Amino acid sequence: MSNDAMIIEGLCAGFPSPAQDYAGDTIDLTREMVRHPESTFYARISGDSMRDAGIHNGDIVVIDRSITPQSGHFVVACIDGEFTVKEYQYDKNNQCAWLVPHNSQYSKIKVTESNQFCIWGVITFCVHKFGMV
Amino acid sequence: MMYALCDCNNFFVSCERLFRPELEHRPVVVLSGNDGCVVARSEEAKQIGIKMGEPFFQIQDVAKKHDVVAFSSNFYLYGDLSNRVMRLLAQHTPLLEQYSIDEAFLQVDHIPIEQLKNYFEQVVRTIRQWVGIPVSIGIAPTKTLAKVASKYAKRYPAYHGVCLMDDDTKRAKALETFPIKDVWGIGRRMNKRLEGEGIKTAWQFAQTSSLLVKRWLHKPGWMTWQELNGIDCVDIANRVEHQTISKTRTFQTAVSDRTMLEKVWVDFMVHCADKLRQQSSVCNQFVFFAHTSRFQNDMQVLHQVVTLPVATDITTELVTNLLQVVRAQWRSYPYKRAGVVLTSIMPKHGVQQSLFDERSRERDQRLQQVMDAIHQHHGAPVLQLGAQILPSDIPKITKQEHRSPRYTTHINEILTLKVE
Repeated sequence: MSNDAMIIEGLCAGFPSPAQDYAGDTIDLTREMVRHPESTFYARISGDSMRDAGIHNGDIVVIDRSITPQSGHFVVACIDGEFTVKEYQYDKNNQCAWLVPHNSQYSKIKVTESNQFCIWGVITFCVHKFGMV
Repeated sequence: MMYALCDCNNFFVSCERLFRPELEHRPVVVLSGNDGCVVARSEEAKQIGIKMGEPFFQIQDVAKKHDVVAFSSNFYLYGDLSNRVMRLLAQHTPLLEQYSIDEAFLQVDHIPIEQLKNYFEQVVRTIRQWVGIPVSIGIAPTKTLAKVASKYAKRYPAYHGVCLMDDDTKRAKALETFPIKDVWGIGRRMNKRLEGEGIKTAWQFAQTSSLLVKRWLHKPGWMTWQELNGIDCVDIANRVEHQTISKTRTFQTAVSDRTMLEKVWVDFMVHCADKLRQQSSVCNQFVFFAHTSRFQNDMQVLHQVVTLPVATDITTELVTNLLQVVRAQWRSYPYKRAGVVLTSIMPKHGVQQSLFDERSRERDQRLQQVMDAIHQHHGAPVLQLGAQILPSDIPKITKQEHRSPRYTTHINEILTLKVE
């Protein structure tokens, strides 16, 4: 038994709590962040090429595979059998795709027909834990 | 009636590949619980001649030569992805009957026949995109025919994952080239009998007179015959799939401690009872056994048949009976292998109630339902019996050298994305 006080409802003889009728669910962040449980996956970030977009080393990202990727989306892409996370840009004029990092130390990747390329999923949220807590 | 059978293509392999895209186009196999034998193969692995059920040590040379990637079974992952597929499928039918971890029948009478093909092509695409698992769907007037159709859907890419068998011409064409031994419900014994009568294809079988079929194969074979002729009669709730359910393991190091082995047996029984309920069956007889190494001269065997007064599917009841007998029969030897086999299995409905049954079955039943619901909710067996072995102890006795991370059920094992 911990030293948390035990609260026994119904033992007090006075008024019932006026909040009782409003008791129910509490906010559930998972429900807010996961629109489609069937298509949602989580992954941990290792590396800093998306640092300036707020995706840091060690963060957990929420990936929804049901979303059709569009230019400007942050995506989990698979290029020549390897995963990466970048901003997706489709270049209409040149009929090619770009994977754009958000860190000036990295350069963007041009995806051509010679690459085996797919977008594995679209990133919807990033969970970042602050170092000081 | 129209049924759709949805079958996940090389399911376990597809689950592994989803998180290892570099394994696309490479031969991949998944091994049984104890890394014993091959239980799933990618197309590439099939092509280099690896057979289903082949012991892993026997294919070591082939595996090395062709750079085959082998995985231990990762049922947390397969179970979770299977649930996702099933939930998506359930949105498209008033009645979904899950038949195995990677297969389900859907009633599809609410969709006009001329729309079925396009409709389910979209479902195939959605499941592929959302969950990442490729599936094939066969649609036909009976479940047995839907199974046949799904094989064609898988075999020919031009079908875009869906094969619709909605008239007799298509049925005849499909059955003519379909080996009778591959038809759902035709077991090895039935096939042998039919071979003796010169029947090789499903079409030859379907064209045989019903009298002969009844004489050769009795009721089960006759039901399959009717189904192949478009008469809907297989109710999978009534179809007891596995005549026995078992779980056995070889230990890396011998176990001679009674408490330890008891826990292992209980754990096996819990798994068997889960399977029993999944197929809506009950059982009134089981066997538990253990034996010492086969390579010693005086192999010691502990083997006991336990018969129950009333057939049941309740885990606690089976476990109580097991433990009673274990404690009465125990002899200590260095056991290398142990197992539990449910031997007498029957459909759940229509079970004879014993007049002298003193057990409060209703209460047991409720407890069981609550436990099953919790496990379903978590996608994992989070509740355990006190007598069961702890999951953390299992790796000590079973071999799982090639297990992939439990990407979708354990937060410490989620996919790592290198972002460089």
